[in-house]
Amino acid sequence: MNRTKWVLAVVLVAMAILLAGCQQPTQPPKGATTPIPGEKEPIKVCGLFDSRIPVFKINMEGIKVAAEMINEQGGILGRPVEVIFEDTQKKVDVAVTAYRKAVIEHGCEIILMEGVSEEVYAVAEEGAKLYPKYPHILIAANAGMETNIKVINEYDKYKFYFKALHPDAGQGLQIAYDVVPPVAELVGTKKVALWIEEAAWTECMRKGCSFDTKFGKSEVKSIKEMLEEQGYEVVHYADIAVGEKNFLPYLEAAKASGAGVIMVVSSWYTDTVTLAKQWSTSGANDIQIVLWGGPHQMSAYWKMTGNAALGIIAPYFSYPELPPVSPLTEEFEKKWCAKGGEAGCPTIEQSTHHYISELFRIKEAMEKVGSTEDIDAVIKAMEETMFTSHTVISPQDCYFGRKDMYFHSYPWHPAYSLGQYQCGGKVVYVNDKEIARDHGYSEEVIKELHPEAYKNPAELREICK
Amino acid sequence: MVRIETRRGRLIIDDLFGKRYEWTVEPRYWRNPIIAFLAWLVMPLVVYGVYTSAFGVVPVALLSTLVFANVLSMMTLSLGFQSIGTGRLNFGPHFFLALGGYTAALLNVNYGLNPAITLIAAFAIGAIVGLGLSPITIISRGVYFVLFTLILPLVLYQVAYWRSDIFGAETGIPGVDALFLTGDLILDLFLFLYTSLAIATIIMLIYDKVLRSKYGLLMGAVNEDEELARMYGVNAPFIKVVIFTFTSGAMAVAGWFLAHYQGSFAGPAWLTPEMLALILLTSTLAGKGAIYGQVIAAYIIVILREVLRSTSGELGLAALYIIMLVLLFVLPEGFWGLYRKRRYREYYPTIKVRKREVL
Repeated sequence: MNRTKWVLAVVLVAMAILLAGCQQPTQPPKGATTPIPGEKEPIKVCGLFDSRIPVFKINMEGIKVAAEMINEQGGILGRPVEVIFEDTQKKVDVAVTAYRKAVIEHGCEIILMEGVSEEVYAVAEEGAKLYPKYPHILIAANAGMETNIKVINEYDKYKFYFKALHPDAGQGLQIAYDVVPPVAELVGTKKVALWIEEAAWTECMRKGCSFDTKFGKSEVKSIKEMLEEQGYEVVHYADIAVGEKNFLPYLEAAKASGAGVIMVVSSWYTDTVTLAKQWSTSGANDIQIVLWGGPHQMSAYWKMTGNAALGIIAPYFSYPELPPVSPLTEEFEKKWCAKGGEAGCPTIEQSTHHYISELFRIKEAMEKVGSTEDIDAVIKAMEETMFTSHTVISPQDCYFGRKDMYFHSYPWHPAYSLGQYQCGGKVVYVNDKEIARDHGYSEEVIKELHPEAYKNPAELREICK
Repeated sequence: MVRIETRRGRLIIDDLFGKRYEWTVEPRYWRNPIIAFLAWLVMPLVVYGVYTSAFGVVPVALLSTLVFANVLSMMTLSLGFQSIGTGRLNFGPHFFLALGGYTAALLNVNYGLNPAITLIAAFAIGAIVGLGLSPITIISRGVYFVLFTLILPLVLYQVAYWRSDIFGAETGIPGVDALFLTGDLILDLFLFLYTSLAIATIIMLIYDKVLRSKYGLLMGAVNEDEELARMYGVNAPFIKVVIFTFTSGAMAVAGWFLAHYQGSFAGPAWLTPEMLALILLTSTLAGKGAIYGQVIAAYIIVILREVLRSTSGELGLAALYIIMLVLLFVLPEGFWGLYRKRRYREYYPTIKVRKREVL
C-alpha cells in the first residue's frame, strides 16, 4: 500500500470511529409513537455553550449543580433532570446546528443558551419553526432588544423565548437612575465622565431609542440626557471602540474635565482588566470609576487585575459576599462553595445565577401546572407567577409578565449589587438602601449594604498599603 | 442532424440554428464526474434514510452540517478559481461573504425586497466592489496583496460597529425573510440543503467549463508565469479583473444564502480569523487548481468539524486544526491529488516553461 492509500485509509477509519462515537443517547421527537413518556423519564435540559470561554464554563458548571439540586429534591414532578451540553464554538452556524440537534435529536424541553446576540437571533428564528412540533423553552442570558420586540409583537410565534437579563433599552435607565446617582452622592460630585462601549447593545444608551410594540410606544432617552435632566454635568463623554486597549487618553481627558465619577458602560467586549490596571497607575486614579458588565462581577477579577481593582465599583455576584436574596441563594452557595473545597467558593458570574434560577423557575411553573409536557401552560405560568427564588434578583425585578418592553425579560438590574473592591479584594456593597428597598429586597439584603463603608480609591490605597 | 462519430467518440449536431456543435462522449471524460455528482446529490437522502432507520431520529445536525458544507464549497470554489486566474491568494474571501449577507439583509429588511431580487443585488454588489478592488491584482503581489486582502474584512468589521445603526454591529440584522418556510422543518432543511447544493453546483460547473475552455488555458498561463504570458500576447490584466470581479460576486452569493437561511445576518460573526482559516485550509486541502476537490475538501472538513464537536468537547476545534495541519503535510496535493494521481488525463492545462540549460 502506498503512502496516499495509507493516509486515505487512516482518515476514513478515523472518521468512521468518530461517526460511530458521535451518536449519543437520544429521545424520539414528540409525537413519535414508540416510547410513552413515563414519570421516570428524564426531563432533558440542553445547554448550548462554547466551553472554551471561561464564563460559559462557569455557566455550565452552575447548570449542572442546579440540576443536581433539583434531582436531590426529587426532580420535577418525579422526573429527574438530565443535562446535555452542546458546543456552539461561538459560531452562528454551529449554534443553529447544535440547537436543532438539542431539540430534535436529544428531545430537550428546556434549552439554556449563551447570551451571544448573533447566535440568539438565528436560533430564535429556528425555534419559531421548531416550536409547533417540538414545544420547548429557550432561555438566553442576553440578546439584542429585537428579540424582546419579537415576543411582544408576534407572541404566538416566539413565546417560547425568554431573556434572563434586562433589555438593552432598560439598562440605560438603570445606569442613569440607580447606578450613577448613588455613587455620585457617595463621592459628593455632580460631574460625571461617561464612557460607553460602541456596540449594538449600547446604541439606545448612546442615542436614545423608541419602540412601537403591541403594548404601546416605549421611549428611552440616552444616558447622557437622563443624567443631565437629573442635574448632573457630563463633563467628559466618549464612545469606546470594541477591543480598545489603550484607555490612557480617556483617563487623562476625564481628569482634565474635573469629573468626580467615571461611569464605564462596558460588557465582556471591553477589556476591563487592562482598564483597571491603566486607571490605577494613571493621573485619574483618584477619580471613582464604576464598571458595568464584564469579569469584574466575579471574585477572580481581583487577581486578574493584580489587585489594581482596589477602589473600583462594579456589580458583583460572587460568594461568599453575595447577600441572601432568596433561600435559594444560600442553598446554592452551600453546593457551589463545596465544589471549591479548601480553596473556597469558586468564582461565579451574574449570568450563571440567571441560568440556575431559571431552571428553578421552570420547575416551579411545571409543578404549578401539574405537567412537564404542556409547555404552553408552563410558559403561561412563567409569565403569570412572581418568582420568589431567584438567587440574585428580587421577585418584582425578574418578573416575566410585565406588559411593556420588559415582557419575557428581567425588568431591572439587581439594585443592591454595586460592590467596591476594598483591601485584600474584599467586596463591600455600597448601594443606596432606599433604592434596594424600593425594588423589593428584604431587610436581610438591606442589612448587607454599607454605603457608609465607601472609601475613595486614593484613600483606600493609603489604608491598604 | 444529430449523429455519433464513434471513431472520434463524439456526439455531433450538424445544424442547430445554423451552427455545428460537437461533444466528447467517451465515457472516461464524463463517467466519474457524473457518478460523483449523483453521489453528492443522493448523499443527504442516504444519510437521512440510514440514520433515521438506525437511530429513530432525524439527523438534523448532520443535515445542517451539509448545508454549511455547501456554503463553504461556494466560497472555496470561487477562491480556488480566483487563485488560478489571478495568480494571487486572496486572504479576504469572507469580506465578500459579509458584503453579500449585508446586502441581502439590508435590502430585505429595510425595503422588503424578495430573495430573488436580493440574490441579484448581492451578486451585483459583490461584483461591483470586486471590480473596484480588482486593480490590486495587477498592481500588487506577494505580501502586499496578502495584506491588502487581509485588511479588507477588518475594515468592514470596524464599519459594522461604527455604523451599528445600519449594520447592527455584533447583533447584526435580524428579521430577514427565510427562503423557505413550509411549516415542515425537515422539508425546509432539505430545501435549504438542495438549494445550497444547486448554487454550489452551478458555480462549480461554470468554473469547470471555463477551465476546460481556451480561457482556462489563458488563466493557466497567467498563473504559471504572468510576464511570460504577457510576452505571448495574453491580456493578463483583463483576465485578472474579470476573474476577480466574477468570483467576488459569487462569494457574495454565499452571504446572501446565509442571510436568508438563518433569518438574520451579523457580519462580525463571519469576519473572523477562524472563518478565514477554515476557507483557506479547505481551499488548500482541496488541491491546487482542483475545482472538484474544493467540494470534497469542504465536505470532509465540515463533517469532521461536526463529528469532533460532538465527540471531543472543548478540544474539538484544536483537534480539527491539528488534523488539518497533519493533512497539509501528508497530502501536498490535497484530497484531489489522491484521485488525480491515478487520472492524469484530467489534469488542468498548465504551461510548463523549461529553461534551456547553458552548456
